[in-house]
Amino acid sequence: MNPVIELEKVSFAYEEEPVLEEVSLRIYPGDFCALIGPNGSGKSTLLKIVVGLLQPQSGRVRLFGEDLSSFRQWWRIGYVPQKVTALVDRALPLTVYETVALGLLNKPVGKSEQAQRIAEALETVGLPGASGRLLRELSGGQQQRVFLARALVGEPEVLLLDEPTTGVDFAAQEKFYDLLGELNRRGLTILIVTHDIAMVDRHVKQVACLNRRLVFHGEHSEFCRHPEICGFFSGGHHILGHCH
Amino acid sequence: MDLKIYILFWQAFLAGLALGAASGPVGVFLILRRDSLLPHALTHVAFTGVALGFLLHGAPLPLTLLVTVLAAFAVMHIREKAGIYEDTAVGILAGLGLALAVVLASLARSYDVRLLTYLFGNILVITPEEAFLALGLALLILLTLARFWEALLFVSFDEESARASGLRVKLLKLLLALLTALLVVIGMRLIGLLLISALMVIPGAAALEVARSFRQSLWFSALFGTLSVAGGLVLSVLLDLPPSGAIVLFSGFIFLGGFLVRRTVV
Repeated sequence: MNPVIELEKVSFAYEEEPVLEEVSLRIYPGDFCALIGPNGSGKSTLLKIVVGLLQPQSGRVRLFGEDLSSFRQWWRIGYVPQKVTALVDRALPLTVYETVALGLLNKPVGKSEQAQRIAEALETVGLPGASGRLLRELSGGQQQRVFLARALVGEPEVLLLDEPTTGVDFAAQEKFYDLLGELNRRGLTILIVTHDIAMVDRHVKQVACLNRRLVFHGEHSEFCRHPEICGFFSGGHHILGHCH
Repeated sequence: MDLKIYILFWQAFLAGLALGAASGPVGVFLILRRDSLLPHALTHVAFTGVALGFLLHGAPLPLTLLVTVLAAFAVMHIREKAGIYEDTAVGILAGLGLALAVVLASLARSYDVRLLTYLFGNILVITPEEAFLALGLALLILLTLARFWEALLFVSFDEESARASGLRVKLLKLLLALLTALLVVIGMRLIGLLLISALMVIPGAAALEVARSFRQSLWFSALFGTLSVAGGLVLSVLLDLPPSGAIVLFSGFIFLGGFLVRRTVV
């Protein structure tokens, strides 16, 4: 099986400060992988490199086997950036429908198909019938689901999420991760940056640990057998309390 | 008041309504990008183009268009590459633009009424050719927005995701800067450089107050822009007021109405 995302000795630095050093990582179809690590370990940077927002200083990135520099099939990748709900301004009269429709700009479809896809995406994230509502009138958790719908509406094969549940209450987080699990079971490959070790423990299949370098990548169960790694990346008690 | 007096000013109404319809929607995108001061800065630079036109004894309009478009692109580049705060970049551009204009106008010995017509505009005395030029450019702006409004919304609202989705973000931002520069140049003869930025921002802000969708805010902003011009022109003729001032004041009343409506009805 060919990887959908492949990083080969990727290094990146902000000015003189190295953030990623020779990181090699492969994500395969059907993976549900959590990218964890301490603050400043390069998790979000790695995700931004994968979606082409940052250029690595060295190394190679391939998406679906194609070099990132020539990759154009961006509809195959859904992306939910960090703190996206902070963009929702009370002065902006953006409807849920208009927000989700933005996810189809790179994959234009007819008006009727657009409406159908948006309805399906909203149904998937548990917000059926919300298309006419204003984004600013929804709760943080609901807004997060709308942005997930925007990432899903183009029917991507890979979903990338950068700390999607920051600032969302526990119940909404749990529902969000349940939804991601369901999407993964339907065949969607997921790479999620998170600090939430409890959610990682309960929901994801693979874990990749970063601290500038990739220190661990493997099955979640294997990760838990390395208490020193667990402790190092999560402050010890958080993850050890959840590992089986 | 005899209706004939308004027919006499058909050029003013034609050009003004076209300008109003185009400036409101562009203003909505600028507000969304927190770029409301960009047209204000560009008007100062446009003044440089006018002064340069006088100095070189050339037509001010094409020179102003060139200078304003270059300035719009430059401010975008400076903000992205130089790591300067957005409002600082805009402040620097506005100050330098005006300073250069003053120097050039002095060198051209054109400190006279000709400069004032560009600063405050005079919509009631524009020629039919100028009216049709304004109409053509306004239609071009509206057609561009009709084609690209969703992409511009994406870039203005969530640039990171727009970039990640493969949209040509830099090109779209340049497009918005170009549309803004075009409006400044159309507006300088009609409303004047000192007030055209208000006609972009105020109708857009009023539309955002009352709209219940983004698409609706674009329609409302065009409507409020045209109403501002129509209302201002009528007031100007009826009360013998300076048209540019009357137009912008009228837009201010519309904003106030929208502000109150949102807080009492919506």
